[in-house]
Amino acid sequence: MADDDDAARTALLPAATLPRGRTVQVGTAFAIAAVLMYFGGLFGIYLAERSVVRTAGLEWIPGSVDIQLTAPSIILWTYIISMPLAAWAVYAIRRDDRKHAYMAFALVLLLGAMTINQAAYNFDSIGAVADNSRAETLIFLIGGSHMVLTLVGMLFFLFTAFRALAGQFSSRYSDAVAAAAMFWYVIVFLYFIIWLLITVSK
Amino acid sequence: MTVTDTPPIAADPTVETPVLPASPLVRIANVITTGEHKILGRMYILSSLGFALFTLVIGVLVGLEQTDMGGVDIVGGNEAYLQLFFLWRTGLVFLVVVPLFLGLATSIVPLQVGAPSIAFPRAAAAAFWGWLLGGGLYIGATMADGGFNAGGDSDAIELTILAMGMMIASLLLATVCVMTTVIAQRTEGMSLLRVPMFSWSMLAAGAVWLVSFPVLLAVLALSWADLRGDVVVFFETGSGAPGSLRYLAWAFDYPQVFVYAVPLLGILAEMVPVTAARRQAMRSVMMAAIAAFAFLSFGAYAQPVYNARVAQQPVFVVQNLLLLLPLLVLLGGWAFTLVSGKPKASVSVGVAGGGLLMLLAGGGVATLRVFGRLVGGLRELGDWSWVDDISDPFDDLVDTAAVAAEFRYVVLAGLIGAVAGVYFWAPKLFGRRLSPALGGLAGLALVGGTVLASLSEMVNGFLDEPDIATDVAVDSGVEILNWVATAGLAVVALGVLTVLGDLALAIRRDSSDLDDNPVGGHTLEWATTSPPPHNNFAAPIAVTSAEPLLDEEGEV
Repeated sequence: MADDDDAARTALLPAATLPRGRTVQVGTAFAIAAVLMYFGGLFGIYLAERSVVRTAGLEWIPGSVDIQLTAPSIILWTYIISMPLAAWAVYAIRRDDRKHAYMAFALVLLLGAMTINQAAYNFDSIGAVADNSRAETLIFLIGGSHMVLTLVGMLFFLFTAFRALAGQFSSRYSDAVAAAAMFWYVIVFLYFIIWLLITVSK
Repeated sequence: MTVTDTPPIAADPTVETPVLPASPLVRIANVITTGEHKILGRMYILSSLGFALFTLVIGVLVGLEQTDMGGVDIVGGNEAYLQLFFLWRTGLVFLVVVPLFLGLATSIVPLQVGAPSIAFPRAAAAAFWGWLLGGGLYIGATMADGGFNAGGDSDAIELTILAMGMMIASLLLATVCVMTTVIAQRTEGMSLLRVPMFSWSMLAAGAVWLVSFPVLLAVLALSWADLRGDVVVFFETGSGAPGSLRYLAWAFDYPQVFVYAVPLLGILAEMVPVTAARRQAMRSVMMAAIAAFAFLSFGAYAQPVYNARVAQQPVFVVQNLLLLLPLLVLLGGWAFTLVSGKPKASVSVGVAGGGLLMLLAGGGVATLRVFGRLVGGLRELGDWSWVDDISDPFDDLVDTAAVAAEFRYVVLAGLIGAVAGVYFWAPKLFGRRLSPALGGLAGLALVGGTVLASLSEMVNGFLDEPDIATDVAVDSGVEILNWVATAGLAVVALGVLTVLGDLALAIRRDSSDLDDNPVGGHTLEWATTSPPPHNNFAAPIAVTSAEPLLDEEGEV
C-alpha cells in the first residue's frame, strides 16, 4: 500500500532536468583526437627511426630481443572480445537493463585487467632492455603508453559503472556510457596498430 | 518502500537568511575547489600575466647576454644561458600566451554561447591547477640546473620534461573543455555559424592545439624515457641545438608558431563590429578565414629532425606562403565594416589592432624566410645566376635571429591580443572597467616594445647572427641591435606591469554604476549582469542571429 502511494506521489513529480545531451561524447571525441595524435607521433618516430637504421643496412631490433607473435596476438584477441562487451553495456543501459549493464561493465574491466597482465608478461619475456637501443626504447614507450591508456579506459568504465549504480544513466540519458565505449574502441584500434607495427612488421 | 525523510520546510521569503562571513581558510578552500568558470578564468589571466612578467625578465637576461657576443658571462656560463634561453622561449608560449587565451575563453566562451557553465567544470579546474603546478615545477626544475640541454643535472632535466608534459596535458584538457562548450553547450538557435567570433577562433585554434600538442607530448615522453635509462640513445646525437631541444624546435618555429596567435583574430573580430556599431559584413567568409589561418598553422609534421628537407618541400613552402592570405581577407573585412559603420575610438580595439600589425609583421618575416627557400628551389632547376643574387640574403635567414624575430612578433602579438581582450571584457571578467588611459599606455608599451624586440632581431638575421649561440664572431652591429632588442623586451615587461597595476587599481574602483553592456556589445555575454551571476543567465536565452543584442534593438 505504501509502495503504491510512493509510486503515485513520484508520478506527480516533474521529470528531473537532464544533462545536456552529447556533451560527454563530444568531450571524449576531442580527447580521442588528442590520444590518436600522441600515438600518431610515436608511430611516426618509430617508422622514421626504423627507416634510417634499415637504410643503413643495420638491424633495427637487436638479436637479443625475441618478439613472438603468440602473446601479442592473444592480447589483441582479448581486446577484440572486449569490444562487443562494451557495446553490450551501452545497449543494456539504453534499455534500462541494469543487471546486464553491470555485468558488461564488469567483464570489460576484467578483460582490460587481463590485457595489462598479458602485456606486462610479454614485456618481461621478449628480453628487451629499455635503454639498449632506439628500437627497444620506442617499443617500451609505445607499449607502456598503451598500457597507461588501457588503465585510463578502465578508470573511465569504472567511473561510469559507479555512476550507473547510482542511477545516473538510463534509457533517457546514456551519453557517458556511450562515450566510455567509444574510448574503449579506440584503445583496441590502437593496439591493433601496435600489433601490426611492432609484432608483425617489427 | 516508505518515506522516512522529513519533508523540507518551505522557505519564508519574508525572512532574510543570515549569511555567515566565511573564514579566510574557507574562502581559500572555496577558490581551490571551485569549478566556477569565471573564477577559473580570472585565475588563469592573473597567473599568466604574472608568468609573463617573469618570462620577460628572463628574456631581458638572455638579451643582455647577447649584447656581448664575445662570451657568456652575465648569466654564469653557456649551460645557464641555454637553460634560460629555452625557459624564455617555451615559457612565453606555455606559461603565458596559450593559458592567457584559455583563461579568457574559460570565462567568456560559456557566456557567449549562452551556457550556464563550462563543459566539465571539474576537469577545467583540474586543468588550471595542473597547469599552475606544472608551470611552477617547470621553472623550478630549470632553475635547479635542469632545462633541455645535455649538460645539466639529469634529475632536474627529467623533472623539466615531466613538468612541461604536465603543463601541456593540462592545457589540452582546458582546450577540450572550451571546445566542448562551443560544440555541445550552445543555447537554442545558436547554430555553429552563429557562434560569436572569439568562441569560433578558440574552436579553430583549439582544434589545431589538439592535434599538435600531443605530438609534442610524444616527443617529450620519448625524451623522458630515453633519459631515464643509463644509456641515452636519442638525444646526445646529431648536431645543432643541444639535447632534446632539437626535437622540440618545430613547436616554436613557422608555421606552428602562428597557431598561438589565432584567438587574437577572434578577439579583434568581436571588437571591430562593436566599434563600428554594425554587424560584421561577410561573416561566414571571416569565419572561414580564421579557420583557414588556424589550419595553415599546423606544423607538427614539419620536424627537421625526421625530415631535414621539410622546409624545401612544396607543401611546407606553399603552406607558409598562403598563411598571409586569410589575414589579408580578415583585414579587408574589418576595413569594410569600419568604413561602412560609425566607428568610435576604443582602447581595446586599438591595442588589438596593434597586435594584428605585429602578427602581419611575423607573417612577413615567415614569407621572407620561405622566399629564400622558394628561390633556392628554383635555382636547383637550372643555372640561373640572377636567382643567386636574389636568394642569397634570404637563404641566410634560415637559422638566424630571424627565427627569433618571427617568434617574438607572433607570440607577443598573441599577448597583445589577449591583453586587449582583458580590457574589452573586463566588466564581465572582473565586474569593473579598466582605465582607458592605463590601457592605452600598456598597449603602446606592448606594441612599441614588440617592434623594438623583433625588428632588431630581423636585421640581426640579415647580419648572420645565429638564433641561439652567443660566443661566435658576428658583425659589430649585432651587439648594438641586441641592446635595442633587450630594451624592447624590457618595455614589453613594463606594459605587462601596467596591466597588472591597472587590475590592482580596478579592485578599489567603485563598480556600482556598471552597466550590463557598457561597450555596446552584440553577443550574449553582454546580455547578463556585470559580473555575471552564478549560472550566468537568469533564464535560458534563444537566439535568432549571430548578434542577438542587435536584434533586440531592431538594428539591421
